[in-house]
Amino acid sequence: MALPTGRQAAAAGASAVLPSGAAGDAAGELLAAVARLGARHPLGCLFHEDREDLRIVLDSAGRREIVHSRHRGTAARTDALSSRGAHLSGWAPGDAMLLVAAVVEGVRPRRDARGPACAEEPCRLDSGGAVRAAERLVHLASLRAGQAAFVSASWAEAEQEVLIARPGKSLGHDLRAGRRIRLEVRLDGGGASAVAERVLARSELPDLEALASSVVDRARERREAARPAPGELPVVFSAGVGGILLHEIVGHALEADTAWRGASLLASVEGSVAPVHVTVLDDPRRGRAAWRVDDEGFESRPTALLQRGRVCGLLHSEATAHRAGCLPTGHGRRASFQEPVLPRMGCTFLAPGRLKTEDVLDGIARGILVRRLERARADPRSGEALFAVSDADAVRAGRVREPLSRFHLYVTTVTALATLDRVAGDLAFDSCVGSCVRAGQAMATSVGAPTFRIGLAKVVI
Amino acid sequence: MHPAPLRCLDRAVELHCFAMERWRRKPIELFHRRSLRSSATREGLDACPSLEAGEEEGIAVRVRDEHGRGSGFAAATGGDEGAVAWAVERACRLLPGRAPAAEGESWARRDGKVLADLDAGEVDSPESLDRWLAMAIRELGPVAEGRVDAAVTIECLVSNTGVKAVRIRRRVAAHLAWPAPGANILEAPRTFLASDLAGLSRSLAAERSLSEPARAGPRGRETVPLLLLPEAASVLIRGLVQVLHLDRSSIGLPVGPAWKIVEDPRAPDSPFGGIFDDAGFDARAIELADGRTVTAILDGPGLFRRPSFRDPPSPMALNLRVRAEPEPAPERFTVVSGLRIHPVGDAWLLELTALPPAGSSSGSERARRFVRVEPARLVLNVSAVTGEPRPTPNGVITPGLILEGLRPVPA
Repeated sequence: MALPTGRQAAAAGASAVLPSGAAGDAAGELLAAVARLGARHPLGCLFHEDREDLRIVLDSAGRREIVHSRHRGTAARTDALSSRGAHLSGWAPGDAMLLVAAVVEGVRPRRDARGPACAEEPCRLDSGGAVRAAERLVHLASLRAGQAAFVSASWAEAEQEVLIARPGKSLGHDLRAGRRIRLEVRLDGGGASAVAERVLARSELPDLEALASSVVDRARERREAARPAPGELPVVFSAGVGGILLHEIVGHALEADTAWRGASLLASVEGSVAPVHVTVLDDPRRGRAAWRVDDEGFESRPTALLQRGRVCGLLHSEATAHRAGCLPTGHGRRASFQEPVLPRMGCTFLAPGRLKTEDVLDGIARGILVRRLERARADPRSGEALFAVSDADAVRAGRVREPLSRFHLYVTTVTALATLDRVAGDLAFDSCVGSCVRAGQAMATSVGAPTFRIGLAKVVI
Repeated sequence: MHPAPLRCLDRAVELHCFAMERWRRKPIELFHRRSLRSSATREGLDACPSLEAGEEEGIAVRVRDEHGRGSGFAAATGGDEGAVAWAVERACRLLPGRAPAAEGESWARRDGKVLADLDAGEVDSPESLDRWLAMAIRELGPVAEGRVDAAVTIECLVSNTGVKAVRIRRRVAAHLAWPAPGANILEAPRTFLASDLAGLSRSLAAERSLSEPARAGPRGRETVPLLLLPEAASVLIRGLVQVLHLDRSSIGLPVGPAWKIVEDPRAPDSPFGGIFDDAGFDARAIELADGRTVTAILDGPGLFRRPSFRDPPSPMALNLRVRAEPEPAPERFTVVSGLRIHPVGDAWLLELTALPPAGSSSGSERARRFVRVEPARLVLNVSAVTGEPRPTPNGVITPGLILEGLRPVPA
């Protein structure tokens, strides 16, 4: 069968603005192939991604791990529910049509012969500049902290271009990019440590001296860290940091497939779960790893999860929306073309309140101010969650006191939301970032929050 | 010898020649991986399955600085000259100005003879995986759900230091969730791993016989031993190996009587490993502890692994095996199906998910419990093993592990 070249097919069949470069050829092929898929499977979908990742870890002990990788591939499926799917890695002309034939006929996709070699393409990411920035950060922090300090810097950067073709629809096209730098300083053999991260815009050069100074100074302050007393007490989360709490206890509980299985305590609650000033949203178009179109071709849109203290929405993929009889919210994502689509969080955040930051601490006889969370895990079924707190201060008589050594914070969804009583107006995003792993699929997510307080959490040592 | 792996090796040699011609002065190592995959997913017996078939191919290159000052690493999907050119260009840009620690030790030198380590077998079709899944769900209960993945992977390694090696492995993995007896809420999914579907069935049967018929919880407030099911045990074993068997100063530390651990990359019943490691060295078995003391650490040639083709080789455990003789289970014990380790400085907070005791009418007694431990002391509590060993997804072959003397507290 004579296939039209990518750009010929694109010109004939598409009204969308088409990508350029390698993705432009893939776009044309997808449009030609999806017409054939649509004849048998009108709800079918073709997905193509071309992704580049750069991962750098350098430290003052001589560790040097740098990985630059490229990940490209295409997947086809017949529908979102009980589908037949197929995928191929790399890219060769004819792949999209092969995949459509495989899902229509129910056979394994196989390239008959080795596809033509991919043309060499320019690099999207500047590894040299990133390595130099990480090296300089280690150097600056080591200078300030002294020879005995352990200093580690990491740089993580990704750029992903995706194309989604659906029968009868214009081509979905999205460019997603994220870049961040992280510094850790350990003093006194690890007895005192501090970490900070910066999310960077595409062309932004970080202020490395300011970052190094702030982390080393915080590590020095933490030399005097006291051990927190176990027990229940009020906890204040610094601006940005508390978004992780909401990601875990609200976001995961309101991913529609979890709710559909009856595995979410929060989704089953009727009526009010939090005070009226609590509104939690998820907007994939914001934050450090934003997307405009999800991996099923639906435009992402902000979705209210809690509004005025009540559960009011779920995060949907196409499959869960179909089951629920509603429209997808643009939250269908896959970690790669080889993985199934799941409803995923984009940027989950608590809407700002009206208090000043210092008012949130006001009146706390004995509590904790959390500055940094490292790991978190929640069980939506029971509503329990555990957070590793790596930087916090004691609060007494409404004032911030001495730093506290590392501990864990145990919360239950019901109690945390019911006692979320003070919210400041200082909304901040991504001051504390990480990956979210769900069903084995790791994905960059964003969070945001103003400074806020929950009345009751439990310190576990 | 299988023709397909040999064709893959020939292709890897061609690609390596292409790279060598183009970047003449650089020592280059090329790792090529090709996987055929299938999967089937079902939510209950009556639901329609989702079936998927696919293929992934990728290459990774390490380029060594000609003055021996270190190497650069890059990887790309695809198996053609374009992918190789992309990766070699990027790897060259990442060549360091100074040698990272131990970099020179990770390049094997061989005589150029082909090392072939080949399993038999084709990848299962999605339909055959679905038949197995439907059968498993029928046994576990109609609301059970799960996913089965199968893959056949061919890996080739070629370098201009004389390495020319090919390996083929077949693996199937099932992720299954089913309710505890008397309950209608699904437990957290458990993962089973084997070389074929018959092996999966054996692992599932062993798990059920270990955890269900004789489950007898504590009476009142008494402290009973914890029986860690293999998947929970494997998390603990991995964690303890990271603490006890990476640092040379640990050698000689005392361990519990059942802490008899060997790293055995050549284990015939494991879906991982083989006769050479991922940098081309001969794989070697190493006894890490003998039930009395720590006897060795994980380090050096023969232990280099790549978690995926996108990762450079580094020393890590691949096939940890618990060698203690299985014993009958204690009279009463708490079954732990899930375990997570939360480090707090040098200590750990263990998060345990206990199954409800036999006779419980609902899942309400399922509970998370926490216990704070020091790893070097915890290993003294590893008192016995029970049941049949089974492979787990994180590279540990273990039966149930019994821990005594721990007092978990409810959250």
